[in-house]
Amino acid sequence: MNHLLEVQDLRLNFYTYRGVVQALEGVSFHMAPGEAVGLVGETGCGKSVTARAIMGFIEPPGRIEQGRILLDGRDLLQLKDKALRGIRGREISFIFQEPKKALDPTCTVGAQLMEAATVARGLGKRDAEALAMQTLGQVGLGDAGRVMGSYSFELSGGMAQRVMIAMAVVGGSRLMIADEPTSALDVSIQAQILRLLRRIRREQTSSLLLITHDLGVAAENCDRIIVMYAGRIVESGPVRAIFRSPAHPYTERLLRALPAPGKRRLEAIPGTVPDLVAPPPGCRFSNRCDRATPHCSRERPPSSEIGDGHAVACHHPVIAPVSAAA
Amino acid sequence: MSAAAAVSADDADVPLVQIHDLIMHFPLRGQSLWPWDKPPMVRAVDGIDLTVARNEIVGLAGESGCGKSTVARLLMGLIKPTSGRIHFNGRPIQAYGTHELRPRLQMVFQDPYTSLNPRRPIGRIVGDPLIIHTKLSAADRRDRVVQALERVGLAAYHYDRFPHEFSGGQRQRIAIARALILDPECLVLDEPTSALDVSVQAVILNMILELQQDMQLGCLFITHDLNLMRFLAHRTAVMYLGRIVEIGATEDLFSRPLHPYTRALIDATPQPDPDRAADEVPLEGELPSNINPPPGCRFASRCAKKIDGLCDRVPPRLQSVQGRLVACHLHPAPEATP
Repeated sequence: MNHLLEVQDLRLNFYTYRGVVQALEGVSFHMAPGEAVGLVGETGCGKSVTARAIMGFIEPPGRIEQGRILLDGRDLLQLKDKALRGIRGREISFIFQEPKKALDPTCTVGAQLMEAATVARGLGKRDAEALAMQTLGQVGLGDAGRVMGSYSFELSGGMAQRVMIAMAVVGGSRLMIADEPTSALDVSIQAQILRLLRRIRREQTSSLLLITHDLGVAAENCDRIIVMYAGRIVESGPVRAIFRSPAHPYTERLLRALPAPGKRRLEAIPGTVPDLVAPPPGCRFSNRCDRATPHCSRERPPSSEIGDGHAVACHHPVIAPVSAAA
Repeated sequence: MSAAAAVSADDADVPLVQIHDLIMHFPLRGQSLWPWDKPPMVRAVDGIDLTVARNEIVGLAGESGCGKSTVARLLMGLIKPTSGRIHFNGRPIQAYGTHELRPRLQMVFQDPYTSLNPRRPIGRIVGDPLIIHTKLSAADRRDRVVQALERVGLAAYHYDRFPHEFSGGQRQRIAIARALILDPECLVLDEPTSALDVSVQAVILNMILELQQDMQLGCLFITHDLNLMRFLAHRTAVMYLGRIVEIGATEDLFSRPLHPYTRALIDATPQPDPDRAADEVPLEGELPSNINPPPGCRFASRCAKKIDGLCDRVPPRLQSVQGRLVACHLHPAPEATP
């Protein structure tokens, strides 16, 4: 199998006054070239931390305890800062949730875009400017000349997010990581930005890791879905399998909790997410799960394949694994 | 509850809330060079009509900047309208004293992290309205507060805890308990679950629905999330740039939207359905400025069905078309069609 990105057994802790927060515990997944993968889950499940770990954005009190993050077989965690800077923007780019906070308010959009183009592609000033203009056109900012000369605070939220995407595209990276790229935007602008991301992905044949809490956004924009809960991946699989036949009780309950046409009552998930300073030893969903047995709270369920690329980490999945013995 | 019921029985034909031609223009100060220049006006709400009946949830949907939260603040009397009338139980809200209005009209705010005073225990936060509006003894107040907390799924032992000890969902329960402790007739909910996770949102929505039915509340529910709207609201009003473009029974409106903006909003809302085609985006461009809104139909600049010449003119006010109210040139009132 040819993986663009492979995350293996990632473990990440935050050392706080309250104790050690086990934010990620054994997270493993992979992405194929050109694939759009949705990383979904609720607040605090570790989806943003995973994305930041890939980019090397983890700073104290956070620490990566173990695991490997392989980009084309090269372990990013072993790279020095300087080497990592060569990868950011050039091979992996990051789209932030709040573009206005991510863009520098003291320099023009043009200056930032040209800097990105210069650093990532080693272009001269003139070429960088031409590329920046062209990229702005590509992300649907027609009046590129005017946008180049404006500052981030002069742009609307939708325009700023387009600039952010232009910055991610300008280096020609093969993997875009987008952390809630549309959560701060209105639905009509969200639809435009998501359409833009789909188009960019087709044109550049790049992969997209889309982090979102909105299951609708994930369903409509991704090939594969990874569901996280309390620092672990509980289920992953093709988008249809996840939404049509969810195997993990958490995924199933989450889908049932969504308001949808025809529903007269929503099925809430009782209980709360466990405290990650002292998580239960077994399945982290066991305290809220109606299928849980005493065994669940003692032993961590291993991830097992239940179908074509569909894996679930549960002792009592809603759909039985293909080979229960394995 | 008995007092409220008695009042409702008196004027049962009068809608609980009646908004007529409400206008709110905010002056934008500091924009002009000369102090004597007239400041530009932000036309946040520009002539809307809306009613909320007893025991009815009316949803107000729209994108940010369309004026939906301003409508909530106007209804609560937190700001004074530029012009227009808001009647509550048939009387203009200006005619009510605050002490008369507040027990009957309450609000739940969007952000449960900023709408609760961090320095006060929640028993006090929830019990304050009783001190202001009733003459109950301290012991009776405490009983009422505990009842109110239990009604929203909290317990008596939470009484002396502080807001920071609660999760977002629990805080929103506290805010709802506070809003309901005086048995109001009308509740304004401004994006009550947009700060919450899906699983928590489900609990809060179920609770709102249950309490609304138990207490026969009239609710104005404001949200940008059309999936929530479809679940919760009996009637839905869609706002665009300070005006209501369409009002109708929720299910009818969602299954057969008449105004192109309503249609576009529904299409743009993502659904947890991998087989839904997401590639068609009917809403191009961005929201025009509400300082200088487009002269004719305000939606014309983004409308896929725009008819040149016709849509440059101001569309008719909301008029009854096929069992609902629409303000669009494409849907003239039946008598206007030849």
